[in-house]
Amino acid sequence: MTERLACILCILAIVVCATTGTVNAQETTLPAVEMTEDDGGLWERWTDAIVAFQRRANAEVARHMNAIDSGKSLGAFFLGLAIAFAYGVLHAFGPGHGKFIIVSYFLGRDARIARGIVMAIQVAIVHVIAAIVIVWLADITLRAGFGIGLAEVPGVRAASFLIIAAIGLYMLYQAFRAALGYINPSEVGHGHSHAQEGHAHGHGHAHHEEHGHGHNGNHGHSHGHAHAHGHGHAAEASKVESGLMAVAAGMVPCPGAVLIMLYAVANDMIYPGFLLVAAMSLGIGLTICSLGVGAIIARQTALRLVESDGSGSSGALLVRHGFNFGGAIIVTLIGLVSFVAFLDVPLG
Amino acid sequence: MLRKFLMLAILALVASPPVLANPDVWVTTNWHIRMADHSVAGLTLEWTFDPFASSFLFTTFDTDGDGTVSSQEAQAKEEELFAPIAEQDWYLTILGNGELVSWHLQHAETVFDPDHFGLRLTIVLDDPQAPFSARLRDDLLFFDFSFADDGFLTVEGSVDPACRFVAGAGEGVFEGYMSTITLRCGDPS
Repeated sequence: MTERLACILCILAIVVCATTGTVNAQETTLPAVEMTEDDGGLWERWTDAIVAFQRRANAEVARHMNAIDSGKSLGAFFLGLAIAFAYGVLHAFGPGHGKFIIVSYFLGRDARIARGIVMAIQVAIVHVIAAIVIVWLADITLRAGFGIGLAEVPGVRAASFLIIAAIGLYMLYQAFRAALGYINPSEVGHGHSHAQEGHAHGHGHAHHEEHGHGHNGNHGHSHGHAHAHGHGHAAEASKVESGLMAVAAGMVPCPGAVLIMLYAVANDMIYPGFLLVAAMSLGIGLTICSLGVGAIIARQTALRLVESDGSGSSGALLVRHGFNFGGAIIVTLIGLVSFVAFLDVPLG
Repeated sequence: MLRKFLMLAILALVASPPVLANPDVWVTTNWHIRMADHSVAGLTLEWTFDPFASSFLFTTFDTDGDGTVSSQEAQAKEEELFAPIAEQDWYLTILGNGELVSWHLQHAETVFDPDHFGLRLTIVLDDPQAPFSARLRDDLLFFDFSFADDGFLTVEGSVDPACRFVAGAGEGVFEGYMSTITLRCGDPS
């Protein structure tokens, strides 16, 4: 009897609970959702498209790494490499990766296109090396991105900013020397080495700056030759300078590449991970290369236009000095402002 | 001459500044909205990190390296993970009738599944809102937020028939931000 009563009470309790639950619980629905696209300008749509591609590429790289791991599929691997490369190309359009520094540097320097390409390759290589080396510091690096402690990689970042600032200051020093006539403005940032009598000469010639044409029947030429002889290694120094710039621009690793490397290490796919990061960094290098070469061409074209525009030597000289100073100031400011901002961040 | 020079200078500048499209961690989100008297009273946000970030977070949380994250391990690391994200207000901004409204986090927890790491955040609005708009956005662009593919929005409770949910590009001050959910009321357009 007691058992029967208990059973009835139990059933009653369940019914009451269930009823109360029905009354209190709100119904959960899957509502019809209207999806809207960004109807902003072309720029916004372009940015959205870049982000959407990267989102997809990130997922695809992960999928292909897993495919490589599970099936050892060569096709999946090569497709993964291609996607990683494209991911890098578009990823580098975003902040970081040293684009602004490289562009400012080449706007402030006379350089050949080959130099721009070499420098981009250097940046890409440094980026890969940094990503791989930094994996063992990833615990700290990614904490920076996730904001955990914001310790970042203090030495790497500080060194990068200081090198950039130092190069900017050196560019500024050379721009001043050129403005004051100590060196030919077109020699800023590069030179020619002559092995002569056992030592090297920096050698500069100025022709067109002193070259005037009159249109009153008199055709006057005045040639000025500025020779800057020195026992330095101007060409080598220039390579060192651009090499240093590449190291400074590339030494702070891309967190995305570090994440891929970490994933590869965690899943025992070190070699595919290395190659995927290399492909991604090559893509980053290609973007940086395009912008750097664009800056070199912009500078060369601007100078050529000014020179052929009848503005005369003074106009050309002014533009060249403007580029030299402008590039130097921007590079210096990027380095200094980044370093000051870095110091402002509390270290974890 | 000056015009050509300016054009080139502008071209060079356009080529160089960042496009602001450089996230490193990709987060897909599911939204669960709780209604009270036809107004939004709260929401639960589920973040799911991409496989690379998930792998990193998993190894960070799995301190003993046994391949699983125990509740003790999760608790030990959650505070470390949550603190900086909380400093950024969980990257969440909520508007009610176009004005910023106050809200608080009721609960945050980590979610592990075999392939992904996630966060579940329970948010309560101090005053229920309709119309309502909420946006997830990391201005530093380390995180990218997007909606999960299917059924990313569920609603608990009844919605006024004159209101409807819109997802994607925001409006007003949220214009241009793609990870926005809006409860639009009374406007048939």
